[in-house]
Amino acid sequence: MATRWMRMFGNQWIGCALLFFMFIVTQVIAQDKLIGDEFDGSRTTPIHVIRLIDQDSSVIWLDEQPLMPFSTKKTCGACHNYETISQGWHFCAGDSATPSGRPGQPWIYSDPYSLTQIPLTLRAWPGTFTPQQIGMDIFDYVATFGRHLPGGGIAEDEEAQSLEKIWRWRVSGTAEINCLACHDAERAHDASQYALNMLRQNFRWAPTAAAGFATVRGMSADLPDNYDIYAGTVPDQPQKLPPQVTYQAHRFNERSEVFFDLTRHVPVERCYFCHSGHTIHPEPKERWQHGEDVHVKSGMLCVDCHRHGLDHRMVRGYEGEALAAGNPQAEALTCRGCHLGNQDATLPPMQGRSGAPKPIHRGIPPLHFDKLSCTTCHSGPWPERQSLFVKTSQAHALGLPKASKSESALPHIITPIYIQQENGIIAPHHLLWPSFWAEFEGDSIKPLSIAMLNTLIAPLVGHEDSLAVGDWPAVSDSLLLSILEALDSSAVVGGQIAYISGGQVHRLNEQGKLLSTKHAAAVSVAWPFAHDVRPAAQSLGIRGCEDCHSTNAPFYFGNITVDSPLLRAAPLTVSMTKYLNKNKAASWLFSFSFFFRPWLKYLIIFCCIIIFALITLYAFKGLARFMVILSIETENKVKRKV
Amino acid sequence: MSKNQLNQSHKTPSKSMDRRQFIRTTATVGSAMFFAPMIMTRARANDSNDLHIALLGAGAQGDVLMNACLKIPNIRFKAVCDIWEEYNLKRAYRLLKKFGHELNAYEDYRDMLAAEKGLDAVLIATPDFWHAPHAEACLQAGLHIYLEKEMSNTLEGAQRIVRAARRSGKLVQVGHQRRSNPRYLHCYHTLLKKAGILGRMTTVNGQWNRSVQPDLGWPEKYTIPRATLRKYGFDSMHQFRNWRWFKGLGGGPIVDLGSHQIDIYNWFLEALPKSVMASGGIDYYDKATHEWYDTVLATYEYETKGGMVRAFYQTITTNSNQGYFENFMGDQGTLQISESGSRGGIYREQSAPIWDKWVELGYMTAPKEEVPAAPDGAMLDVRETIAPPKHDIPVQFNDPYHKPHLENFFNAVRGKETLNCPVDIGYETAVAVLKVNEAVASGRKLFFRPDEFVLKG
Repeated sequence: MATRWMRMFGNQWIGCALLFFMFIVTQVIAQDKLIGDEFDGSRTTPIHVIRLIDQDSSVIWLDEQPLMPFSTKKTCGACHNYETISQGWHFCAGDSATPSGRPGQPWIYSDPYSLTQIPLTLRAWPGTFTPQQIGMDIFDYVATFGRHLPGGGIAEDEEAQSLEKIWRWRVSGTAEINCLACHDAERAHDASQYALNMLRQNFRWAPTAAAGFATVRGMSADLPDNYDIYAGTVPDQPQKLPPQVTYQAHRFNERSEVFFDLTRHVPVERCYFCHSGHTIHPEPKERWQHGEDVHVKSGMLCVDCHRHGLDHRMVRGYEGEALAAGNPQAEALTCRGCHLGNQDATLPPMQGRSGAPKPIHRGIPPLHFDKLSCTTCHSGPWPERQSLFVKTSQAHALGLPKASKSESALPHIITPIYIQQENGIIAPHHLLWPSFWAEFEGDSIKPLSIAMLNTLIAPLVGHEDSLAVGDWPAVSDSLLLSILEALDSSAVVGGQIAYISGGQVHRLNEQGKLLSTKHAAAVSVAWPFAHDVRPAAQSLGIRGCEDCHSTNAPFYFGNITVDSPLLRAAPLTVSMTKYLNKNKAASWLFSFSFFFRPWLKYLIIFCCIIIFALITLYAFKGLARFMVILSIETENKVKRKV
Repeated sequence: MSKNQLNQSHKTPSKSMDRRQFIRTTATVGSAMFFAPMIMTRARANDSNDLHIALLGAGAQGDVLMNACLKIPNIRFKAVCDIWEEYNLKRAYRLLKKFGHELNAYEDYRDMLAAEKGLDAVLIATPDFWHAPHAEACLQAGLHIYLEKEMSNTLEGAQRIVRAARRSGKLVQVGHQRRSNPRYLHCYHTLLKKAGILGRMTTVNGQWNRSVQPDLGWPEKYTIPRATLRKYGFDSMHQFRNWRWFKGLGGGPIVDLGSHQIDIYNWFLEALPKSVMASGGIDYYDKATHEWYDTVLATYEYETKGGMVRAFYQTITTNSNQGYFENFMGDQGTLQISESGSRGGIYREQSAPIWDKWVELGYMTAPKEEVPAAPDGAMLDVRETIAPPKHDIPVQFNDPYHKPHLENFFNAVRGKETLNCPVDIGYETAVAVLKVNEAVASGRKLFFRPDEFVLKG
């Protein structure tokens, strides 16, 4: 048959037809929308009374003493295209096909015992390292940071699993996308249980543990490689409790269906678990004294701005995202998009979305809107002369009951830092001074692995007093020198050992003395932030130009702490002007001029009066002259007549 | 089946190959995988020292053996066989593929033996009642076998294996893995044989206590079709998963657990038991689903070179207190040993000669000084009886328990070592252990004939 077709139409036509057919099939598969993916126009949230399905596609029947947690991939994926959702921003770190866009907060591996705080990410953000560069494979990455990872992507990619950890993955399960992390409207949803179970390597169980209708006990991290998840016990190690799920019977109806209180309108609480920030003020403030984002306080949800379609490619909301992420819709969801609208008269007006007021910015020279991001004046803590520290959910495990609540717990993130970005726009940033051990490979630096940190460095540092709070121990130059000497003499690594901290590389010179130098790998790492947005009445400039343009304004002359465990006679700082790419003296002179600028008004008025008086004087003089001339001419006329 | 296809089938089960296709494809296209570039990069070049092996039975115990084998160089899995295709077989196949092994998957061991011509050995980790037919078939195919204990659930089955081994001349390593454990080897060769630290051994006691275990479950979706279960001797999926509790399939806890330790009794005492009496029953579990005794207490009598030794053994499945260990007690000391590295020690009797010499020779560690807590008022401790100091066994063993036993087997196949637990030893243990169930059933003291442990012909 095939031969006859080929004879009739020729091979190339058959080939083209096949290609076309495959293209159509691919398109159909790519747009494989399931029942929950079709929007029918109703703005109500469908009620989800559904059966739970486990990872092996078995329905969880309550009367059969279910052993397994439900699988979001199978339960939610029954009606929503899981593959499409997997493309979302939150799930695609490590996917080279997804643009990394503007730098965000990296994960930070911190450990006071090895004097380490090092930024890690699977996205291509400058100044960061990949987990693999410090010997952390994907399993360890998920086990370490999974507490604030929503699963999906590399956390469930079997191809990304290292051979050494395959057995552990079999015990822990993969970390599927935790749909409930965002979409669960139930008050009993407990994200800290999700975090706890991820830390216990109960990846398979974590979403169930957080759901309000089940509890999970046990710890995969304790179990042997050969643990059979359908056994439910470790026969000869009863003290090692395997993960066990208990469903609340009353939540199941007679058909073994469960009411999932799901919503598209993701509650702020859900976002806050991973995206909270807590600024540490020199004089501690109580909780009620802290502000919150003005948008949230006005009743908005994070997702009102951070929107996305079924593909979950969430708009991050920064200017330039449209180009960087290839999403033209993103431009309309920036600060300017909502508050200023579009300038293109051919398009429908976008201004005022969600009731966004149009800013007046009375008296502010337009130059500011070209050089500053909106967030510079409107977001983050009010800048102070000395930079502040901030704790964040992702860096400090905020929201976990047993996480260190000490204000000095590592990592030390500094804020607000006003930095002129590559596009020339100034924006507020959080900043981290990396501290880590590395070896030189030529002139480049390769961080030491975590295993080496634990086995080599920590015993040499020998500090035990930071356990309680997780702060840096104090490290003198002599201690650093002795550690470097011990490491170099041990010859455990090929290159010369160095400690990177406080913006410098510290190593031994040829004479065995401590040599501290600048190095590209030692520079601070910063990432812009946008929240919390303050009300207009609390924005920079509200009190006048001097909010920024005075000789002691933190905006220009704030002192940024150079964070390091190394002891110094006085704390090291750098000026904000360094990050603004400004000359400090010139900036001072410029700011100093604002001392006289209020006087300038009076000077101008005085000058105007003088000018006006002179003009008036000369006008009168002219008039008098004119009158004289006129009177002479009149007199002459009279004389001629006479 | 290509790597991508397998991966795809994992991600979207509904679009995956059906089971027939899986079996057919892996068996017929497996050799073509050699050319797949992904495999080429992950797999290392063949080595003349390589052994080509197959895994027969990819359940929990097969998993244990596979895990250990993956840590042993020059072992190349060429085939895996399990009747639970959709779960055990696919899991094992995919895992081994990830490790770069080029292998085929089979449901039926006969198909595997017919198709796989380049095998050196087979690891058999199937239910006990299948050991005899599986071992016979493999030996008949000219393959060496590593056979999980118990050799068989019946004496007849064990005898079939011994005869098949003799006929084939191939090696049979029985899976009493403690015989290759460096800690046990140190105890036997150094402490008992060389130093004789226990003096005249008089009693042994041991136990394997487990807490209450629920029946094993299974993913509903992957239930084996009834016809397949029947074909392979199971009445139901529940029975397939919990075969150890069923008469005709397994031997119950005394065989599953006790076999390991009673084998050590025989080894360390260098004798075979003269008699056994036992008490046991199904005291706790549902008799409908648990046909074997959940509690067994047995006492053996050994006539050793040094004299009579009475050896007690208990296995209970309702309380895990003290876990599992063996205690060998002589007039000069006690040796406690367990496969679990966290347990074990040597205790000197007060009347025994000082053990400093053995400490200095490194046979054991020096006891740690235990300072008794001074009561309030700093009263002088005038107690006469204090706990004997504990010497540790100075051998660390952190590998998977089965690894050295498998290594011994593989090296024996290569002709570099002799087996630590050859078929005749395994048979002796089977005779000693299977008799316990008889003793429980009869309620009498049963005697072993000396010729019972030796199979003639």
